[in-house]
Amino acid sequence: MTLYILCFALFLTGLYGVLTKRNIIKIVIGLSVMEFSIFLFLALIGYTNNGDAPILVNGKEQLLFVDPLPQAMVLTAIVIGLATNAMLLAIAIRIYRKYGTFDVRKINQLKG
Amino acid sequence: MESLIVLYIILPLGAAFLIPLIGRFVRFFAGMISALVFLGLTALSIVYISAYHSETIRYAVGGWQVTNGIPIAIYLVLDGFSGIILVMINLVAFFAVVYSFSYLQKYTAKNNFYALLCLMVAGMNGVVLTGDLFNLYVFMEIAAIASYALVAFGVEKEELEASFKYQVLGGMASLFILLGIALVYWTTSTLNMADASRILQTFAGYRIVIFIQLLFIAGFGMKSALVPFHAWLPDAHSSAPSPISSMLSGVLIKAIGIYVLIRLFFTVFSITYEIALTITVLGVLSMLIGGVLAIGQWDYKRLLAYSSISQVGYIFIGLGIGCW
Amino acid sequence: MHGMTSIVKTVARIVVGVIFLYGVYIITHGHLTPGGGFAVGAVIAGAFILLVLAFGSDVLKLKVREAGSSTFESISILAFLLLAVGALFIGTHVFFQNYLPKGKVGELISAGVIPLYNIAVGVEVAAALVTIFLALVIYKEEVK
Repeated sequence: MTLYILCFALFLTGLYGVLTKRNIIKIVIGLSVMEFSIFLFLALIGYTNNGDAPILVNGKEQLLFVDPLPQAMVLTAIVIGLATNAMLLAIAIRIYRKYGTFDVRKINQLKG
Repeated sequence: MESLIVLYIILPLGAAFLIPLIGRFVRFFAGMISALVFLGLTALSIVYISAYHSETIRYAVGGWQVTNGIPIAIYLVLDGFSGIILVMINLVAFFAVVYSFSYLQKYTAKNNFYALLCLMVAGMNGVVLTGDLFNLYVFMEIAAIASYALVAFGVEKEELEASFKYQVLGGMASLFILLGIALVYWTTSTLNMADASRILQTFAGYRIVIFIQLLFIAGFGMKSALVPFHAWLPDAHSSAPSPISSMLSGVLIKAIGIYVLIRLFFTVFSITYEIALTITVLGVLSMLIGGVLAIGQWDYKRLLAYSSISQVGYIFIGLGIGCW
Repeated sequence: MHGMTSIVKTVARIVVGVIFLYGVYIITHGHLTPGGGFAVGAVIAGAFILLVLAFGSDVLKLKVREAGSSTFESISILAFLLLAVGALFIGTHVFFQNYLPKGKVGELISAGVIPLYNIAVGVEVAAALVTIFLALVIYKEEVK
């Protein structure tokens, strides 16, 4: 049970990073930390006691496997997180060329 | 006739990846094929509404049948509500493509625009048609990432800033939704929507179900610009190119945000009095704050964006009252 | 962008082939051992990115548009869609069905269409990552 609470604490750490940091790159890193905590939580859900890795090997009889469905979900979610990070960083590079700064408080052309 | 339901996902996806290949050689290929695809899908949706208006079509992708009483396939489900939303998505996309023939003269990378628009419509069609929770998350992310790129299409200062704000808020919304889906899987150990609704009825008053419902309201409320989470819509709406503004405020926040909330709260969870009260209060706040903030605007597109926030509030009031 | 020292260049020349072969091995055994398309796409993209980093983009004379890897990506996704749509015409007429003959458990040529899907997804992820990397490197060059 403490493992799940620690995953949630990592999620809140990432959320703190997104909310209070002023540099754009640190906001992106905070978002990444939030993502990784959810992947860890998903992979921990599927654990059964005394389970083995879910692969069929010839000549070995095993009846109890770890749940493979959350592992497939985490693989897909990692690739989606990769696409999100790539988009964020490409936009961050272009913002630096146009505005000349990475500080969020100075990037406020649109007001109202 | 039933197996034509997969065309909603195959056709826009195939067009989106055919356009960079062939659009380099043939001149007007990109616009023509997108317009043809959306016109065909609109006609197919109108046929589905008029012919199948009283039964639901269930299509198992992969053909895997129910084994040991557990449904293991991914289902595509079409009923009356989905049919109406499909007509709306494809019709508005067709009109946006027709309008953008002359609007895109001032941009240089036209092929990328049409490819991203087809990807966004493929994602939205998938969200409306799916019957499986994780499939919903994947299609929602496809549509959302395509819309992040489309908002920043002409790379001026304001468009990049608006797209960055939209991306950070949209990314956090997706993470809340993924956490909600993980908790649903932990509680019910299934991802199929119909099966999860049957198992969740035995968990009626538990606190984890209330936590999951609040996470979904936060996540999908951010996607549909409800009032504490509305900060991205005025910037994104006013900086995007005009066909994308119409798709974003007119179709995307409704198909990804409001439709999924209605599906989840009326089909998967059985709705209780406290959640309905929360939704109604948030809807009333949206209606008032969207209307009041629209008075002091000098820019037409920002005015229309605040009006969109107010209209979303109306929809949430109707949703919340419908179960008292 | 300049290249690195000659020690790095020599080692990169030897190691790139081994990395690529390792990636191809995991793709083709994706239905027998852990692995599959997604993770291996990152490994194969790593082989290409290692070449660009070690030798520098001056030597490779990268063009302004990264046309080659983008074409690969589109072709592999269209191949994936064609394989899935082909299931509509063969066999029981259900989309995404597994219609090639399935052999015994544990052999290399078995499990129907799944190895072909693995190859298509691996090529697609590798091409996408190389396209992203080249877009960022070339953008840096053309602004200077």
